Amino acid sequence: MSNQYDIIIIGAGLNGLVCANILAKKGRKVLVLEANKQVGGLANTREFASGFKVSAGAHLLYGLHPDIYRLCDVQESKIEFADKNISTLVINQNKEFINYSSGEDSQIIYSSSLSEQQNSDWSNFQNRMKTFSDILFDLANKTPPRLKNGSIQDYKTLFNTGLKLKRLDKQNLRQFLRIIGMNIYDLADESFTDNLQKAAICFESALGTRLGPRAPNTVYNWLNRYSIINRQPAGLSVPRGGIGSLSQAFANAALIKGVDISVSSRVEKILIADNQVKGVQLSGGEKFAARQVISNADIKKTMLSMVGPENIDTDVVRRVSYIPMQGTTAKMHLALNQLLEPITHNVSDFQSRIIYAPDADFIERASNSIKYNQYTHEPTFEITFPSVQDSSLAPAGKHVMSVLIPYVPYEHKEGWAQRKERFENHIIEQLEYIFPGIHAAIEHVETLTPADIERQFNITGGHWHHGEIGLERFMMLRPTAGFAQYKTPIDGLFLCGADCHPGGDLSGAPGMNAANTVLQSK
Amino acid sequence: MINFSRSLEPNNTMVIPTPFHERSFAANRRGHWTSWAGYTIADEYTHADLEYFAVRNQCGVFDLTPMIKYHISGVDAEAYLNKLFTRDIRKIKASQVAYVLFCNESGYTLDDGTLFKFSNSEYIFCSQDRHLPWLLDSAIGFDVEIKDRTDKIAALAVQGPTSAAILKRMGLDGIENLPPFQMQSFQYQRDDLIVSRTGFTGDLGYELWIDPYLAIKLWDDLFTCGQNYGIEPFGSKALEMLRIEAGFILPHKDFLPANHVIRVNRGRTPFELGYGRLVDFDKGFFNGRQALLKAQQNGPRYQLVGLEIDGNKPAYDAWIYQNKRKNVGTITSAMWSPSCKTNIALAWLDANAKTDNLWVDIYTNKELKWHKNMVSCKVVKRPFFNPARRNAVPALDF
Repeated sequence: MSNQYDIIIIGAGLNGLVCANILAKKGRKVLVLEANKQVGGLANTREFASGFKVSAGAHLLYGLHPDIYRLCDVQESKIEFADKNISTLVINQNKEFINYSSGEDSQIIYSSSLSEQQNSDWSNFQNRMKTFSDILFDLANKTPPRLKNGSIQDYKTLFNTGLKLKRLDKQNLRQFLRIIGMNIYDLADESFTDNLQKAAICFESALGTRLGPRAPNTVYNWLNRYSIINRQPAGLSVPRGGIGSLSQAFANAALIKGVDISVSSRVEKILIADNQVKGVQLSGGEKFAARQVISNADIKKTMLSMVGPENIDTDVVRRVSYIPMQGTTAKMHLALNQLLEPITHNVSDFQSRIIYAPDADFIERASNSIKYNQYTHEPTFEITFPSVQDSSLAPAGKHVMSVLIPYVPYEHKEGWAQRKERFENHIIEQLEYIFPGIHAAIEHVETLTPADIERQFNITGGHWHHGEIGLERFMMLRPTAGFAQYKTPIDGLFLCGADCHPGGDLSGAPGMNAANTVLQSK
Repeated sequence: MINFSRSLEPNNTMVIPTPFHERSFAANRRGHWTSWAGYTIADEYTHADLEYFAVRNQCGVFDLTPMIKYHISGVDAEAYLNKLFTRDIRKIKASQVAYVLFCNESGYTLDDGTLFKFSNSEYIFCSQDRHLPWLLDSAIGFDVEIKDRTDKIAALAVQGPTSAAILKRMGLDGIENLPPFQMQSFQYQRDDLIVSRTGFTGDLGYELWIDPYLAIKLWDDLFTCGQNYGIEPFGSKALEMLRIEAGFILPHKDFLPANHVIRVNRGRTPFELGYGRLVDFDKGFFNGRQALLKAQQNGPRYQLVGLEIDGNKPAYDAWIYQNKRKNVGTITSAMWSPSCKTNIALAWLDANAKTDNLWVDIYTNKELKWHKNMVSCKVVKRPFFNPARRNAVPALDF
């Protein structure tokens, strides 16, 4: 491997791999350096107990931008899906439930007690919101405009967005302006009469952020998330072999195009001379030269550690330091020696994504503790049983359970070293209420607090969007002023991670947009 | 660890007395006070003109304690200061005092100040305004400790022709050999008295830095030894006259610190302030470097100039006109200079303005009747007043 490249990409997360594919396709000589032993970043499958495999980061695929397969020459048809159009089962402590489909035309499939009116409330809400989420979706695959540049492309993006807003009829435009900065709790409250429906909407809006449903910005978050799920032909899905096999497919496509991918290669320094990128240096001291470096690592790691404060203005150090990047969501993987009793006496329960969220107030209460660096004693969950859809993930007859726990602080106020075991036990206790007998079925548990995610996946704070998402961190304000359009104050250094517009959710869009920016730059 | 706690004495006034307050209060026969950085200092003791002449002809003492003093230490101190300031800190030698500027990312000046170098790992930075948040945020990634020592160091400016003689009489042997912009430590009582040959008057003069518990003793010693040398305290009004004559610029008056402007481009680059020589692009990265490279390429938008104006009416806040018609600038500081016997001013001119055929409009009020006078002026070199004694080594004995 020669040490001279056109472009070096730091990090083989999904965005890094998408970026590498698009650039290599245009004839660039690209090197991808990944600190971990595996490619994929948070899109990764790994063995967490002997014979048990799990998607260790994201456990569902719902956000991949539809253009990306084509742009990267990854044939969607060749990716084997273990399951597509996975429905969502929302349950409460009384075992009441609703089950709804995700993706376009989301509908209630079955429920314990919904009236016909309540059933149609759901579809009506989705239809109303679709108009608004489409506007956000169209922005996701575009480089955020900056008026300062005065470029025709930027004006076009703004003009088109403005036009789409303008085309809304008066009533819709008023509604859009009314709700966009609002909280999801109130919106759900005025749209539904059923507690589980309200809880479902609230849970989805706040997932991955530190916001409770009553916080402003949650409607925006819901629309943002809904806008991408809505465009997935496969809805919520999981590839066979877990999310990691998707990363592998993009890595393979890159290798075919001549991209060099080097794992276990931790970049320590980005080499700079006279504000121009010259290459990178690994922790082992090895150097690689390139005129352009694109970092899939988060902005804090990139700017404050790899570039270093000694090479950037104090104003920039300030803006980057202030980005809220503390993770909010923990992950728990359980190896089970048998499948549990179905909740709704329906065997398809375990094929669904299960949300435990009795009502909107329950979620709001759960969100309180994270403000004080504690975890809640009454948590909500998002649970999947990946081995039900994909038997290759667990030994015969045994199963894997993957649990997302929202509102878990990055730093526990007493320190995770003190509290992690108690946290783990507490969560299992809570799961026992929902799935009686689970305690006895557990062979092995792995718990990842945001601090663990930070360490294992090299993401500052362990936040799955590489930092909070919201209207104040949207478009040209994402990740922060001066970094819009995937550029940094260092010439030749770009960002392509989830901290860039439009954010995480395994969309690949930051990687795609960054590649386009690099191709257009001189 | 960065320690930025400042202990303030519990106090039931809104301003903090300096350690010299007992003496300055007794000396302040007019009762005119002003506040600086939360401290109260004398504006005028007797009359600004009298105090001004004391400095120019004998010796004046100014209470400098409110000057903000940051103690910066640590193995990365030099590298840190080199990121903070525009000039190359590596070229400054121990015991040297350097005039420094620092800029934000847009290349606009945040403030100026003086940097006292004790060693490669220990400095004191003095500025008129507080900048702790900026200093701390600039220190991210550097192994340095920054402490605000403002209330831990009492300071007096001793300025004027007889200042060296008075200090010598006070027992500071060899003080006359201290060159401008150098400092020296003297044993005083059982403590250190640091003396730097610096000042804001453009005259022969010194600044004295000492532990506050010795402040009253120092004041008394100075006035005892200076009795036959015409020593007088002077306040901020007289200082303002002295600094204009010396051609020094004052933040908030001659330029706005970049963190105080609302419209970003109302800031001023060091080039526009006339301090291009204090910007060193060869030293590696520093705050504002990229913007200043661009600013250098584009050239300055304004030029800060000294003006000599006909007549004797100070041109406060006046417009400047080319050929009596085209507005090409404004005046920021103006005064009748008693030492130069001319009417002087500091002013901003548009960068591309021609410097001949300049006029200012001065409004004068004669018994409640306003007169508009178009007066000719010309650009002159600063400082307006620059006596040979200012930089003479050894210092002249008056």
